[in-house]
Formats: sequence, structure tokens, C-alpha cells
Amino acid sequence: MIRLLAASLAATAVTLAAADTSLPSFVDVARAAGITFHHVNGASNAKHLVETMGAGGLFFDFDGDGWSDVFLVDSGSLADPAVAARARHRLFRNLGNGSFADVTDRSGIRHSAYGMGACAADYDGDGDTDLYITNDGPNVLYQNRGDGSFVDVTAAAGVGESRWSASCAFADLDRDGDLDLWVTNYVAADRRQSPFCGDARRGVRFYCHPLNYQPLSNTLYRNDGNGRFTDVSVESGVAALKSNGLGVVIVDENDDGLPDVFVSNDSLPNFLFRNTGNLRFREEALTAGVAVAADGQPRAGMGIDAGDYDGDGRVDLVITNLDFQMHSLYRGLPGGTFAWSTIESGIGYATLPFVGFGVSFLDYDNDGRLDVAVANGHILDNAPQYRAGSTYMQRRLLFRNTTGRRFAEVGRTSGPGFASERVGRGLAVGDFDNDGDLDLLVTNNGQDAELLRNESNRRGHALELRLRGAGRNREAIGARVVVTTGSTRQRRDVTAGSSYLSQNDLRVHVGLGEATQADRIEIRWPSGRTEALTGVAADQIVTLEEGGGISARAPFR
Amino acid sequence: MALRSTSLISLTLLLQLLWTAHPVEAQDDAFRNVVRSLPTIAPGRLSDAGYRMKAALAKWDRQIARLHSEPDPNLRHDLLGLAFLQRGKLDDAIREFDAVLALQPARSYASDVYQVRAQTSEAAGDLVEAGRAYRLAWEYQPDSAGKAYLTLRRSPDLDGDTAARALGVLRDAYTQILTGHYAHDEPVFSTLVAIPDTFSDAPIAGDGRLARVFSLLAAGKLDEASAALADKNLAAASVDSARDRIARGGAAEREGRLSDARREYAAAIEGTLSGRFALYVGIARLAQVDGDVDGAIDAFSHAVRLNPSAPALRREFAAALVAGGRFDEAFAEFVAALLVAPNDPEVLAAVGQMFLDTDRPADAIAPLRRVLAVKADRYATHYALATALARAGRAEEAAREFELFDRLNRQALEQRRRVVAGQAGPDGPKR
Repeated sequence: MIRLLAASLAATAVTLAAADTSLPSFVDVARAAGITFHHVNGASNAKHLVETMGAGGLFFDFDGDGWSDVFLVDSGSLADPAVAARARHRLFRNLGNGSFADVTDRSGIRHSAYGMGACAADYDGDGDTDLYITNDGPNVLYQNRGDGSFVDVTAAAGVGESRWSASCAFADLDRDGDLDLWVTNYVAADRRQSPFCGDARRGVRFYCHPLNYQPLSNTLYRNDGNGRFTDVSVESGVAALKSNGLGVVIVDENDDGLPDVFVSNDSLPNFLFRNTGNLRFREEALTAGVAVAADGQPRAGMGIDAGDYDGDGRVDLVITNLDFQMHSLYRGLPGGTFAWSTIESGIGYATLPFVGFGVSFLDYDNDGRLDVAVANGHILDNAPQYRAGSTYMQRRLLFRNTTGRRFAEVGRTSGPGFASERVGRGLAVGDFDNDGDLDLLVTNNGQDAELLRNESNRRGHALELRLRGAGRNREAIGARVVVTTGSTRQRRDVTAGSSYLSQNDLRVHVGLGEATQADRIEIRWPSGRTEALTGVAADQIVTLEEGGGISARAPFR
Repeated sequence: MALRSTSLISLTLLLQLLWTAHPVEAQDDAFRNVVRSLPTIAPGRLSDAGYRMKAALAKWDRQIARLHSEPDPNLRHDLLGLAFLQRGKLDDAIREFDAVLALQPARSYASDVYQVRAQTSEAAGDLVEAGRAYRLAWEYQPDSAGKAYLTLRRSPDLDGDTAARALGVLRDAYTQILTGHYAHDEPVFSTLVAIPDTFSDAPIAGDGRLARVFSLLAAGKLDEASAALADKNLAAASVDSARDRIARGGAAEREGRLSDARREYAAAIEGTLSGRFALYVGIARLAQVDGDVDGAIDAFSHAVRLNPSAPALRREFAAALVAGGRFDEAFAEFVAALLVAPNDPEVLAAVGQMFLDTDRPADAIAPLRRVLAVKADRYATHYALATALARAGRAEEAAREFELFDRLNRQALEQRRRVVAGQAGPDGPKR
């Protein structure tokens, strides 16, 4: 008698499904484009948990030339100073011809502690984008001098959080016109030694579960408008809650004009800090329905993103989790609650074997519906010893939105960029070649970073909006854009920090499908001002000035 | 013995009782004993097993022949019909059931006979005729939720009005279940073949020698199986036996080749004597992970037919239907599970979750409350109930449930933290 064993669902799968050749595919062009970056994770026999966690990457236009540049965070080593010395953050300038130049040395950006993630925004309102790097150790703020170089202003700005930070995001949380800074912090782990977790008799050691460590509170820095920030974590109510914070995304979830903060927590309930004004927050994830999964259990929340995937005008949420947990999708409902739509959407079972990290909503095929991209990779470098069938390297997932409420996983048929297996961590979205379709930046733990170019057949038209705020928040972070084509309305929010340790291109990308123009574009600027434009032609990058309409147009390349 | 049967199952129980009371042995024990011995039988004893099976079948046939002396014509035809069905003589079984119906028994009794007739037609592969008989079975007993279910789910050419009426009966039963008023004292679903798929807990798969025998037995072709077993030229073991395929499927699963695993399990169905439902469940789960919702639903539908009285299986099937957006079908499967186990908290909780998933929070409240009525410490249900109440606009009740859940959840998290902390050390992992 053969006894059927319980399904040991494994992390990778091969399919014979035929590819839909009309859909875009993705190809890694990092090396060809000049992005040569190998992440130093410092993996050691000491099994410091941090070795499994990094690192992130950004699309951001540091020189303001209209081409998305790339910043990659390197980690280092807690166990070996020699290895740590090899770690080096890298800034790659987009030359506008499909290639990048490594401008790290000239930028002045230096590696200083075990690197995790980063976010970028013009915090000082001087017209160029600054950079904040999170570390397991003091975080660093680099002010952009506007000449291609950056200067470390951490001490002067007072934003040197020294605990183990993970993701960060900029937003004007008090609506005073400048950008405040939110930092998630993970766990309190001893940097000198790590507890032993494993089976000593078998000589097998695993990285410890995060619940072996004490959780940490988030950090909120208020921008004082004079180059300095003040830590208002306690006054704001944020410091009262501790958890294993990893991802963060800031968006006005209840459309009251105040940005709210979603935080994905590892193995503990997620947070939704609702902004009640004056930099005060009330944590309401449980009653909103995003703290836990439908079974009431918290998941190992890693990456996070917000977007309106069902086109109802309300914010939805996606959070990546551990394998055998399913990544979570929460659909926004009227009244400030969310439905756990993981199964209903088709995302649930397909994510069951995967350990998810970076995640983003994006309309990769320009059909007017938000899809979802996910970077996966196990935490344990010896994953098969932990669970038969598990693999350390895992492929990425691409969920194509097929009906507005349902997704089909098409990663296996979306080109080598999605088929390849890596230890995925960060994921950022942007149109680096300005051709109107969205590309992906993926970072991998202990491996090369990848730039996945969208080899689109240009099935649908698109529009990209570069918003310019009137005040100090020049990048209009926090703006809400609603684009109407025919009977379809698409909502986009400008966010500076999301996914996992990463940040997307700040430009708003909207797929228009067959439509050759956006009938109407409504913008609610962070200042509260609302404006509308009509009849904006597709297939161009449009710069919109608050109060000034369209100031520049550039056709897609 | 008077015939007072009002349901299929009382009829089959009657059959068992009758044979126990008669001076004959239980109808197929000898036969089943031979079958049970097959998976571990020594290669040199196969033909011997074939002869023993042949003898057992002959004995069984003699027992069936004795039923012809039953004086009550209703009972005689019934018993013979059921016996022929089990024996795999399907044409004879149909003839006997039609003979009962020609005697124009009471409506509820006729309903039972139509149902077993439907099952006989299904066993013969005539699904259209089976559907017609299921409809008649329900028509003769229109308040039967079980028969409404079978009509709804097993009639290939059902019209919309009939489907709606059947669904209405299931809704009525569901309401009774939620209020604790559903009368339930008999099994609802049954399999009447000689070797039911639930004959074993795990799949009994044939090696190269037994694959054909098992295939014949599973198809109810008992005489052919006996002959094949007695054949001294029984095929030697081949690499494509069901047993090998299951092994290869397991290996493929462990290596992450999910599509290969599905293919191997699907190919192993043929040649697996019993426990095929477990193979179908494995196929369905793999299909779900592969993103093949329709494939999962198809595999689960096979599984529940083979093992119809397992609430957990029906719940999983229903969840797959929910994932496929087929909510009415999911509801029918949930009710079918509740007909078997009206107080199953997992099924009730899943029904509540379905309503939450489909933006019907008000409808989720009753099943979730029912869960807590039968299992008050199921703290996840407090969360689901709180969510349903909040979304239904019942804020105060929701707040109470959230508070309760939050307290229980904090305790659970602390417990989890202690467990994990306890794992740090030489004996404990991990993430």
C-alpha cells in the first residue's frame, strides 16, 4: 500500500502552460545597462538574522533630468569586518540611452552600517531629491546638493535612528507643507552574537524566528522646516506600539485629506495608523480588517503596497508573507474597512509556496488595471533542511489583473526576468527607459541586483505624470490622481517609500488600454487644492505644475 | 419484516439487517477479505488469491440467489437491486429497481428507489439517466435537502427553474441548521459499490501486477478482476504502475515540479483500488497552487463523489468554488457538508467567510454565531464575527467582539512567543 504523503508544496514550479505572446515579457538588462551590483549580505556561521533581510533599491531621479536613476543599498557584515568593508551602496545615473553610469564615488554616498533600505524625497524643498538610508545601526540622511553630490546631514537633521530599521517613507503627515519621515524598526537583536536555533546534534543551524527577539516601535520624525527634524514618535502615539515592523506605505486611506500609514509586521498584527490630525495617530488595523488574515492569525508581513486594483476609487492593500501563509490582499470597502480578498482574488493559493518580500501594484500591460509583482526568496539559506521541498531561491510572481477583482499568475510566461530564481528582497517599479511601460528593479540577498526591462508589445496606451507641487513638497508626495477614460476611473497615489525597503519612481503611470487620451485628470494636491484637466493625449510624459497646468510634455521613447 | 423505509439509507441498513438476520453470511466479507490481502500478497500467491476471490464471488452469488425467495415483492426487488448493484451487475440492478417502481410503492419509498437507481446509472456511466432519476427521487420527496442537492449537482441537463427550487430547499435546510432545528439522524450520502473508495484511509495502488486487477475492481467488474488475478500470465511489474506513479508524483512535489506531480497522480487514478479521493485532493491542491482554479474544482468534484460524507473535503471543495467565483455551487457544497455534520465549526466558519468574501456581511453573522454556539473558544471566529458585524453596521456588537478577539489574540501571541523562545537552543529552530 502506498500512503500518499501530505503535499509538500515546493517553492518552484515548472509549467507547460503556453505563453501568451501578446503580453509583455521581462528581461534582465542590469549588466548590459551598466548596473553591476552584488549585494554583500555577510552570511556567517553566527547566523545573525539581519543577514537574511537586506537590502532595498530605488528608482529616483536624483539629477532631475527626467530619467529615473537607480540607487542600491548594500548591507555588509556583523561577523567579519573585512567583509563589511566590501559593502558599498551604489548610485547609478540613467544616461537616457538605456545605460547607466556608476556615479557613487562622485555622489559622496558612503556605506556606514549594515544597510537595509532607503527612501528618497526633497525633504528640504530645494528642488532636488534627497536620500535616507536605513540600517541595522544609525540611519543616514543625505542631502542632495544639486550638483550630483550628496552630503551626510544626519546629525544636523536629527534623524539618526540607531535601532534596527527597515523601510522608510516620506510624507507630509501634518500637512504643513514639508515632508515628514516615517521609519519602521524591526527587532532588538544583539549585533555581537545570535542565539542558537537549530539542531546541534545534527549540526544544523537555522536563523532564529523574529519572535525570539523583542519588537520595536516605529519612529516618526517631524520635519521642522529648517533642515531639522524632531522625533515625535512618543507624542504622536506611534511609540506606544511595538512590533516587528518591516514595510511601510503612506496613503490617504480614508480620503480625509490626511495621509495614513500602513505598516507590515513580521509575525505580529499589521498596523494601520490613522492620521487624526496634528501628527496624532490612532492604530486601527484590527477594526479596519488589515491586522491579520481571515483566520484571525497574524502573518509574517514583509513588503507592502497600496493601490486601487478594483477601480472603485478606494485604496486596497497587498502584503507579502512567509511560505504556507499566502500573501495577503485586502480590498478596500466603504466605511473604512477592508475585505481579506486573498482567496477571492486568486492570489492566495498561487503564493502558498513562496516567501514574499518586495511587492508593488503596477499596470505592467497598460490595460488600465493594476497588476501585482512580487519578489520572492526564502529566508533560510538551508531551507531544504528545514522543510523538504523548500528552496532558497525562488521565482518572482506576476499577477495579471484579469477582471478587476481577479488575478491570474503569469510570471512563468513573462520572460526570463520572471522565470529566474533568486533570493528576492526589494522590488521597485519605474519606467527607466521612458517608453511608457513599467520596468522593475529587483534586489536579491547576497546576489546581483536586476533591472527587468518590460519588453512590451505596447498593447495599450499610457500616460505618465510628473507632478510638481507649489510649495516645499515639490514632488507632490501624497497627491491623489484620478484618471478617467470613458467609464473607467483609475486612482493613483504618489508615495515615497513602499514595497520592501524600496521606493518606486515618483511619476504616476496610468495605463489607458485602447484609449488615446485621458478624458479627465483630477489631481488633489498635498496642499488640498484640487485641479482637473481634460483631453490629455496618451503616450507622453506630462509635467503638471500645481496651479499652473501642463508645463512640459515629452513623448514616450 | 415490514417495509417502512422513508430514506435511502434506511433501505441499505435494512439490507444489512436482513442479511445479518438470515442464516447466510454477510454478503461479501469473504470477497472483501481477499481484496484486503492483495496489496501485501506474495507474488507467488496471486493466482491463489484469484481462485479464492472466484470462490467468494460464487458464494456471494448464491446468497443473492436466495433473496429470490423473499415473499414480499417490494423487499425482494429492492434487496436484489441493491445486491446486484454491489455485485457490479448493473443491468440486473436497474431491472430490479424498475420492478419495485412498477409496484407503485409509497412516494417516499419510491424516492429512495429512484435514488439508488440513479446511483446505479452513474456506476454504469449513464449520467443523463442518473440525473433524470435524481430529479424523480427529489420530486417524490421534495422536502429532502439531500435529494435536492443531488438533483442540483448531479443532473447534467437541469433547467434553471428546477435548479433554483433545489437551491431554495438547500437554503431552507441551511436555515434550520443554523437554528439547530435540522432533524438529522441518518447518513445523507452513501456509496453502494462493492469496494467503496473509502475502503482504506490512504490510496491502495497497484504495482505492475495488480494495476489491472485494481482497475477492474474499482470499476465494479469483479468477475473480470477475479479472472485477471487467477491468470498465471499476469503482467510483470512495469515502471508505469499506479504505485510507481504515486511515488514519482511525491518526488516531483518535493522537488517543486507541481505540474509533473499532478500528471503522475492523475495517471495513478487508473490502477488505484481505493483512496482515489486522496489522489484527487492532491491533484486539486496542486492545481490551486498552479493557479488552475478550474482544474482544482474538477479534481475536488471527483473527490467528493468518491468520498461524499467527509465534511472537511466538501468544505475544501466549496472553498475552491468560492475562489472560482462559483458561489451558488459553493453554497450547495457547504450545505451538503452541513447535512452530514450540522454542527461542524469549520464548515460553519467557512460559510461565514464566504459571505464575508462576497460582501454579504449580514449573512455571515448567523453561521459565525452558530460556530461560537458549538465551539465558544474558537477565537478566530470572534474576529470573523467582529468583522461581519462591523461591516454590517452593527458597531457596538462589533466592538465587543473585537475586544474579545483582541484579548484572546494577545494571549495567543504571547503563547506563541513563549513557544518560539523555547525553541531557541540546541533542539529548536527556526523561522
